[in-house]
Amino acid sequence: MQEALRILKEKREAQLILINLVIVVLLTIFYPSSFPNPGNLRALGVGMVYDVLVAVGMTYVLILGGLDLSVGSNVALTSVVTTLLLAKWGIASVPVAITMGLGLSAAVGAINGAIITSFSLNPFIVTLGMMAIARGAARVLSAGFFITDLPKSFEILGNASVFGIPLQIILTLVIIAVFDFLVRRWSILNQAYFVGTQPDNAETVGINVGRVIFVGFIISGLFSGISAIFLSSHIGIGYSQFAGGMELRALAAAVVGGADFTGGKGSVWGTFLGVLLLALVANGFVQVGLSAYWEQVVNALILIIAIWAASFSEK
Amino acid sequence: METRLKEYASKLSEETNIGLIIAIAIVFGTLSIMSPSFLTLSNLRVVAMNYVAEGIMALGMTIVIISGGIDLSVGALMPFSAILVGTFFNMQMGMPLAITLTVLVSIAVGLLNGFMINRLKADSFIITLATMIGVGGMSLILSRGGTISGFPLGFSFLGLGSVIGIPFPMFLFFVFAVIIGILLRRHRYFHQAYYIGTSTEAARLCGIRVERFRLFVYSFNSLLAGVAGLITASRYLSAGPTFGVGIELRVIATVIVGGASLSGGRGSIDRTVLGMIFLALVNSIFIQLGLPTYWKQVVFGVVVIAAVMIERYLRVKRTDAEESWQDFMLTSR
Repeated sequence: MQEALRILKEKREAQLILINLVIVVLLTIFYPSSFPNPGNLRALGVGMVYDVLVAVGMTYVLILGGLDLSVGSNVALTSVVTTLLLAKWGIASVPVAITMGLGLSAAVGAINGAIITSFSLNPFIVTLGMMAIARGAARVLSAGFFITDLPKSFEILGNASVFGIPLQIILTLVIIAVFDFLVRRWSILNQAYFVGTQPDNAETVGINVGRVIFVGFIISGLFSGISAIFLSSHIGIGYSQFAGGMELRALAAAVVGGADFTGGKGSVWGTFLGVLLLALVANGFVQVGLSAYWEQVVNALILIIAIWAASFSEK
Repeated sequence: METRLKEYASKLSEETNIGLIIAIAIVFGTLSIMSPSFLTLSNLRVVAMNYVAEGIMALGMTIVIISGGIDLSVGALMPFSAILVGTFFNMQMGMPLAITLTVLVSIAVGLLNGFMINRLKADSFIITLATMIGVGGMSLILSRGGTISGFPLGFSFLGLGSVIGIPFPMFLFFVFAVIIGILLRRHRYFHQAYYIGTSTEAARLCGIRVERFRLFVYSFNSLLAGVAGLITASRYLSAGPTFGVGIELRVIATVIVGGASLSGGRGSIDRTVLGMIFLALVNSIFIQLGLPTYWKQVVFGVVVIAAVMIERYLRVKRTDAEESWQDFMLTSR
């Protein structure tokens, strides 16, 4: 019991699991017909997919001590380009188009990482610029229109279900589970924690800090790309205004999940639980029938509480 | 003689952002040549007015950034103050009271920011992000997602009136810029921002009340954001949550392009004003030359990145600084 309490006090993941459980229990008790409803749960899960993927990528960059404001625009650009490839630019094969789209999202991340590391610039301003560039490029390419007429095989990814569970959800869970495993076990990725807290010492010890940071931004870009593919596939369009404000939502979720701006903190599952918490709260609002306008205020409060909790374990 | 000149030149480029001035001259010159309607007073006034809200907010943001912090919440505070004053007017409140209350609320938000940053010992980025989300939510609640109208006609003086031929918002901007610029440079209290931005520890050891200053800086910044919101509401005699979407990032970009550093300790009001002029000109290129506005964002992003790249390159070259990774990291508390 002592041990359990200690874990609860120290590990953000444990706290979040508890809070999420409480919310689920409360919602199930008070809204037994509408909350545990498969349709509702499915909508909850699907809505989470896009945010979770981007937030996990963001978490890795945060662990590194950086920040990526371009993720939302990356999603939009990738969605536009991938759908254009299929609808207008003559790529018949869906896997090829998806690969090219992912390549683009990774390239955007690579450009971010390259500029940041070669010029030693603050990631805030670089990714801010890239955010504008990517979003603008998406608008230019799509001329502001939706991109439709996508092959049916493309839309399978975002709409198929396995045993009633949407494919997107399953794939997302698998992807983040694999990534979490890699970050824990693979020293190349695990170094991020060290780099995030003491980059100069890491350099002295022989870690190629520049490369770690560069790869970190590619990872973030790639996750944005995956999210874009799922999103475009699910809704069936490419759109330059997708994922507006997603970067700040992802950031908030990551921080609720235990990540920190000073670097060296955060985890994949923590972020997942953070996104889950915010999604449950949003769903709770729908169940209770509260005006959605209050949701933002509540999200802000949750964020503040998370920061406040972090300041305790800071001791 | 020559070395004297060189010294003077390097000091000048250290003090003022020569590169930026040249860039402004180039853009200005190009626009003047390529678009005959550019160099008219009325046109320049439009160019300036399009950026006036960002400009006023950038003045406060400059001090925040110099002191090593950042304030994202202004992006939400600006539309919120517009919506709030509109709400007051719809409650039949008189103008002086409505404006005063709105200003006080703006200051209160800033105080809250400063208070939380001090108490929670967290980075200003995440705290002001939370405030931004919260205030944004309040905007939604008050406006119910729509636009607020019903402003008294007299209110439009703020945004549309003129003082000695200059539009009132621009007049306010000039006055603020001059006063704040002088204060930042000469007044001991304001100047503390530089010390705090360079090293909070060292500043504390020197006896500077860092926490107190933070309360001041963030409430001052919020005050300006509130004023910007009032001006915007006055210009359109309406208010909605879509006002100034993304403005906080444009404001921060203005300060950084001007030459301040996100880690603090560098920057000045004149630099920010230069940054503002530059971005306002770049912003107007599209309308002047009839380019599709889709490209606006792309050019903005490229300009911002190029500006910091060049500034970094020049600074490293000039001071031969040893680059450490710590410099680029997001926070260096």
